[in-house]
Amino acid sequence: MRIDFYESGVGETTIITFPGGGIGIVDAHPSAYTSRPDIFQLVEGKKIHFVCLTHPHTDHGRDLVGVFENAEPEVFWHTIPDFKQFIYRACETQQFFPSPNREFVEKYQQEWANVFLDIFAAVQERHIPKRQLRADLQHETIDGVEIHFLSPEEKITQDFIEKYAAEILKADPEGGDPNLLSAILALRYRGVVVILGADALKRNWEDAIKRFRTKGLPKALLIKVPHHGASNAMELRHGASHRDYLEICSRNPIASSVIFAGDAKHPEPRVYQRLTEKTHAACLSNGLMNSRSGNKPLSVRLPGVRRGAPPAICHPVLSYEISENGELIKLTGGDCSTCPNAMPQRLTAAS
Amino acid sequence: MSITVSDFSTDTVGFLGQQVSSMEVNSWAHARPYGEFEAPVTKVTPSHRRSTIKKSPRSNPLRRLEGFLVETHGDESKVVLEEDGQMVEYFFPAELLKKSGVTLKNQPFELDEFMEDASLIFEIRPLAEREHASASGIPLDPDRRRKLDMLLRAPDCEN
Repeated sequence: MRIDFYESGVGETTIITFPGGGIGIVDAHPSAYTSRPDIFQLVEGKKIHFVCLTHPHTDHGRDLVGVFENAEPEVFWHTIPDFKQFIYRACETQQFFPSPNREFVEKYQQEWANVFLDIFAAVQERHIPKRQLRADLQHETIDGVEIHFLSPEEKITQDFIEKYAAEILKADPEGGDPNLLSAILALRYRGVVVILGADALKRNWEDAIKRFRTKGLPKALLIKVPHHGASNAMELRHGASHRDYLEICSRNPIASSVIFAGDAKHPEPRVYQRLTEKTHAACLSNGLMNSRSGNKPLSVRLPGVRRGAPPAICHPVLSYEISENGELIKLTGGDCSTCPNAMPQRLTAAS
Repeated sequence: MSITVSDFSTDTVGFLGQQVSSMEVNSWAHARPYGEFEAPVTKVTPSHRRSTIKKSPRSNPLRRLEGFLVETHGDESKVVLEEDGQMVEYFFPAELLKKSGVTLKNQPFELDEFMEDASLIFEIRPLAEREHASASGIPLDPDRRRKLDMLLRAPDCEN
């Protein structure tokens, strides 16, 4: 089994190649730097066992539109609990204010809605089976690879839908956070476990870690770091009762971690420091480095403000293989211990 | 609410080593042209584009940006600012927007920059309040409208 993580600017693209040669796509977003090949090159001629949209954010789904419109995936995995309500509210009941920039507001919301309309319409029109992932589902097995679903819990999805309704109807900006719908996948092959953490938050990990242990899975040798290394996905307080995803990562041998930076800040310096201390961390892109936007003056120089822009690239792709012997082998890419951009002084400066 | 840059540490923008002196900010701000939204106020605009809140009595800002609040999660708020006709995403400290009265999703606001006593002053003002909001649909193109209708009517659209 092989896993390829592709640099995707502010988004993520992960492709799993199963022992039989078929693939599974977990999120897809084009690269801002065009370092990632076109999605059709990545999937052409391959059997697509599933396409998984881990949660409804465009940085995880934008490039899935073309896959659903043109390729032949066997099933669409997603986590949206009531899609009709979700899309109806987003498209028809937004609260808008009179202002000179109203057209910008509408355009922004429209671009977001278009991605999910396109995905779900293609799935519907092409009769691609859908499956809503939840943590209580039985695992799937593809070519001997077990895929366990550790998140989201049903209570979290219900809570999301209620808060999402409030967000739309009452213009509550602190309403439903789509990151809470993140599907955490644990892949087990030949005794090796890989965790794909999506953008799961601390609240998701509380339950996911319990599920992981209940299932008796061995500690992971590879983890896709959740939420681009943000601090709201990792418990950083000393003595906190919350659980941390590093608890289910192997310490001996030391697990590897893969970081997709989210924008020109993530990973959060303290999270990054912990990852480099406890895992073999490797970044596809790193918000701690000066980015393309970082070299230009920011238009707003207000304290604490940052621009949501693609960070600089460390690796265009990170690839791993789990051999028949149950070994995790890194096929491409170095890690942060040898990267001059991840020197300790940079971390100190960022802190 | 006004914020003075000199109240904070000099490394304020979140990028490594990018420290900004007030002189640098000042010259840069003057170098940029004002946006189209600062056109003469006699310009006729449709009612849905007209601001409902009286603008700040302060005049002659160095620069005025307009934007809106997208979402708030934790201590950060995602906003979109209009810059040279483009939408640019920023992350602002949530508390800063709350204190300025910007608390609603899609709520428009203005961000003004002033020079005062050799310091750069920022002022954020909401351009509309809750009572001015009205529910309406996103202007979808015909193909997206067709897709939405199809999805809402499809019996097996649910999971």
